[in-house]
Amino acid sequence: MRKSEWSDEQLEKLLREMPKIEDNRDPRDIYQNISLRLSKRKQRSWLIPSAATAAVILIVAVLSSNLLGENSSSEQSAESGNATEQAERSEMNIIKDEDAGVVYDSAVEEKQDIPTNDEATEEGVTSSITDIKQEYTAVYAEDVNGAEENTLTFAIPDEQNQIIVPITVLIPKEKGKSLFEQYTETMAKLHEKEWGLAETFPLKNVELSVIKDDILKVNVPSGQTYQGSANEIAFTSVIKKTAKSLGLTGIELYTDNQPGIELGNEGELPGLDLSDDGNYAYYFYYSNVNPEVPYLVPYEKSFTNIEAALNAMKENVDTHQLSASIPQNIDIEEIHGEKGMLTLQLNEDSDMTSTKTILQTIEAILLTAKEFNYNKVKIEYSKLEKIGKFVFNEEINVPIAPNKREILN
Amino acid sequence: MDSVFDELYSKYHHDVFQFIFYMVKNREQAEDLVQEVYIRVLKSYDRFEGKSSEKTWLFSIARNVAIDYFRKQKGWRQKIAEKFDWTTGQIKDDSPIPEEIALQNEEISLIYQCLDHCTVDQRMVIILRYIQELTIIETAEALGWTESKVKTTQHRALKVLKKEMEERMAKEGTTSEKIRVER
Repeated sequence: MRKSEWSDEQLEKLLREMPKIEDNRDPRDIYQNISLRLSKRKQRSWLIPSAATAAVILIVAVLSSNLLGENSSSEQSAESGNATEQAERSEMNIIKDEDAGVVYDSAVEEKQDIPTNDEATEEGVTSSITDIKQEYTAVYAEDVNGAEENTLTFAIPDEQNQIIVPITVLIPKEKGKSLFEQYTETMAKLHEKEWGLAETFPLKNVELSVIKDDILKVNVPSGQTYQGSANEIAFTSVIKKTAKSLGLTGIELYTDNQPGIELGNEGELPGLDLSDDGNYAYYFYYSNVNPEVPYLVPYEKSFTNIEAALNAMKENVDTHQLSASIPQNIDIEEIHGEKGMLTLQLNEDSDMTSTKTILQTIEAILLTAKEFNYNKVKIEYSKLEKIGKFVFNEEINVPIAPNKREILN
Repeated sequence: MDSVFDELYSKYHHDVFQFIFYMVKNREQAEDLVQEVYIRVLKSYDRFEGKSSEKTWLFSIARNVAIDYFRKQKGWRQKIAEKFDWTTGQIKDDSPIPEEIALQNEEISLIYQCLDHCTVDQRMVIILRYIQELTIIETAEALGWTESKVKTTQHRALKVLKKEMEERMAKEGTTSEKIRVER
């Protein structure tokens, strides 16, 4: 019998000679497959939670209708009986159009927290509906009297200096004052602490002016240091966003009117680059002050397309305390963009009524669409006519700016 | 396309694909699994802490994907085996030898076949160490093992391969002289 002996070295050499096997597919195809599977998975992942929610709603509906039946007119108990039946039959779709009319029409009024419990019990049927936060956070064209008001957006860090929250205020126009003058004057009137954000404006020891028509000059006294990268990043982001919201095209940095500012991480910088990538996705940020209604915050990670951005908005960014702005049970099946108009097709099983912050979700979608240079969004969905002022299957104009706040003059 | 995907693809796609291919020995399966790797990576990319290198991190995810695959595979194979009362030894992966391997010399395709006789752990070490040419330290990182475990597993794997190669060559009486290698 023949026998051959192999040494480790020979084997190793042989193994190293094994041919390279390559994947011949186009990376785009692979990416396509992945995105498909990522979205499919998400569909599955909300099945159990939504079934659980349905069960809870059902129980609440049954219990509340029983309680109501004890001390109310026969008409009402008939109604609540109806509610139970409806709940049993349609699980998640408890809110039919007629109920929706009651809840959502009144939603057109801004900043109204409805339905309150009283109203809900009066209606009987709506008692189990999650109360939706009727607060529009963004500024829309119809909110601004363009001839008389300026929309000013300020970049304000959160208390941890981790994220920058854009805050928009409306200021009456004043004759003879430039936008820049009004902007700097308004800085002192912002109530950052009240809003649960970091005290930022007016920028301490920072002198801002506009030079060469459209360059923001930033002058700090010598000896000023920005220690810690969080502070430094907050400082540079605030400056950049300020220049942007003023429509300026460049930033020059000075120390005691000598060019350059010493920044811990970057060394001495003569100016800041304003060309950032944009295309950000908006997430929810809950401040300590208002745990109910979130701020809508663009997270500093740009996306190459809006599909990816909208997908990402379903996940929290735990490192930056940002919460998903699109709930898992809302499923965008198709995305189609053309000539400034973005059309989103929602899966008909998407649950638009059990999330309190559904209005803010729509606002987050609109603001993200704006990031990608769309000015209109159409959301295709047939189970509801509208939520608040957002009408499904019709064009919705994207907001002018996010996070409206009032200041007293 | 997602920028993260883009970057990972250009840097590591072929390495990861090759690793998985040699693990499962089936092109279609490997194509599927490599997608699974990306899905897991993209989901957890934010959590990548840079403790290990990106490359070994990617391999560690690929390893988990491969192991999960074998686990599932084993599940239904064993079920069938029980049903038909086959001995497990008879149930072998009979996926055809891919073109790339077939074009090589006999020894290569022989060792390719012999890889089946290694355990999953042993095969992973062999692929990472020799085909991907990772160092012992990198391999240890990717597999989440100690370096000494990598070394012993590697040693055992080579031993299994050696034994298999020798047996097969002895069996094939027609084996030509050129693949007989004397020590």
